[in-house]
Amino acid sequence: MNFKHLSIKLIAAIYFLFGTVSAISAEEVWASDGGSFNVSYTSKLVPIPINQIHQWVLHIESTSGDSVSGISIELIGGMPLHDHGLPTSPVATEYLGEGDFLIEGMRFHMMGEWEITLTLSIDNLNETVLIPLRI
Amino acid sequence: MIGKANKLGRHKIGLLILLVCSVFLVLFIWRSNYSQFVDWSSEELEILQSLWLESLPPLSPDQSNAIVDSTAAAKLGQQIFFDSQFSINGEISCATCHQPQLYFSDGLNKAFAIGQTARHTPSIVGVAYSPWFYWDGRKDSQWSQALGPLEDPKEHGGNRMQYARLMGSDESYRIEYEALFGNLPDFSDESIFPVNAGPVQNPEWNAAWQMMTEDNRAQVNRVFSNIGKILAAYETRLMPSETRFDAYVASLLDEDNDLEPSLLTMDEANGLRLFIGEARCIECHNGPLFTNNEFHNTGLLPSPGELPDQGRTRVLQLLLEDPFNCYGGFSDAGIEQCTELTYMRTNRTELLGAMRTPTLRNISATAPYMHKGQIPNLAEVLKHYNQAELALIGHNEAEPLALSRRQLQQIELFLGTLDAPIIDSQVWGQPPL
Repeated sequence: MNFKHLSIKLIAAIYFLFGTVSAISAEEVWASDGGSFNVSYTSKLVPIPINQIHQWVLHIESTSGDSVSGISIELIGGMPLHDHGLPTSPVATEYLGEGDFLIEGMRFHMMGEWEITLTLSIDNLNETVLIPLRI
Repeated sequence: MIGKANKLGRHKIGLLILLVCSVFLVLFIWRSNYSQFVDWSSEELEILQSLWLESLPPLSPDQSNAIVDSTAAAKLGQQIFFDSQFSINGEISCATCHQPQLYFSDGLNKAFAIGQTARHTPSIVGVAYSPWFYWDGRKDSQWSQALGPLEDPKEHGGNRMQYARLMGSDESYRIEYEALFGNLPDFSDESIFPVNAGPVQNPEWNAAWQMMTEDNRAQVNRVFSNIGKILAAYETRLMPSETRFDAYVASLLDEDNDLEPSLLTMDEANGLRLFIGEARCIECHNGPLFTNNEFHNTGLLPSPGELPDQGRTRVLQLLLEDPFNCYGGFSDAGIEQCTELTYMRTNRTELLGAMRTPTLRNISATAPYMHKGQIPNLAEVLKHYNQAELALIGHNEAEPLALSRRQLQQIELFLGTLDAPIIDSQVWGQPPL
């Protein structure tokens, strides 16, 4: 097998892996800084594309495993290495039930390391969640 | 004597063998060097594939323009695009600045039509993929953008009443317009529909517009917005075709051929490697159109004698108030379809001095560069990014690269592999036959 054939097979493997990585990311859980919430996300487009507006579903539950509803969600994000934010202003638009929230307006315009910061507010609680991801 | 002749013959044969061996040796070394320099890692190949024109998805039709996919509309739009009747002096058409032979740019620092405008004419090839239009993105659809120059006093210099009336008074235009949109209003009564009227700088035309009833203004606006939609149906057809770079990527991905050395020179291939790596060009010039269509401050100096351009920051409110935006009554989209406008970035500080990333396809043929045409050639552009000095306003997102002169030359050579005519240039790249 020459290098070219090997490279093409590696590309196929990377595509597979990237899809898998995104799927795994969606299964990962991040805890809020105050320890009250666990958050995971799923992108409706997998792998997450660049330059395409799309939706996410956030799943939020308490540390005891109960679904959380009636919570206020503020989402910001950016690339720390580039010192700029997301190219859009995503918003939580709908509660889908069972701790799931629809996030509209997600878009990434560069490949690289991103961070999404969620501020979760309910009653007197106000906690943040940091989600790192690579696009 | 015979022995000496034989000896000479043997010398010649020996020299010939040496020559042939040398040629093979040179070819072998050249080939080895090429392989050494242009063997791509699997990660790099993935990036190259992301830039490949074949990776460009089909264009999603603009939901705010119901006729954008109509071929009849595109052909009508092509007629209007090249028709100088759509100007106040009968001398300016869209093609005055968007010239097909220059990939729909004009080669000037700043556009010049009725007068000199504030900014450089960008190419409009492939721009239909962008959610934003103009350097500062002050329009959110191609049809809404097309309306701006028609009323700009330094561009076409006319007014919407004039253009709406022209659609009815020109028999050919009237028939084609009505086939798309139904009957035109009757604009013949000049006491109701003045000869010239529009919300423009000209005080007489503006006053005439204010005197019209709201309903009559809406009728004019409807025809005016439809002219924009017709033009957009044409401009949507202006798409880039396969370049030498695309053929190179295709060859890399094709197991059955090995044409790469004939498609890109070593310098060009090394320039490409820098483009996607050390030079960081790909951070903004990404995807098959080599643009993320987003807004960045890259520390450009203003034109001599001018204040720095605020760019995206200045137009955020204008976008939301524009009657011809996606939310407006002339848009064919439902509000829920206006996702880019609804969720647009509004961080004024971050967007200060930011302009939209242009495509790099055909870039070597569309000098000068940047939103004011401040930089005359690609070598100077690359030097600008290599130095990445502090911005006069806002924050320069670019950082110094410390690339050598040789490396900058290689990137420039690579950029020269991105030229190709538009798709169906015989049909769309010239005035209608």
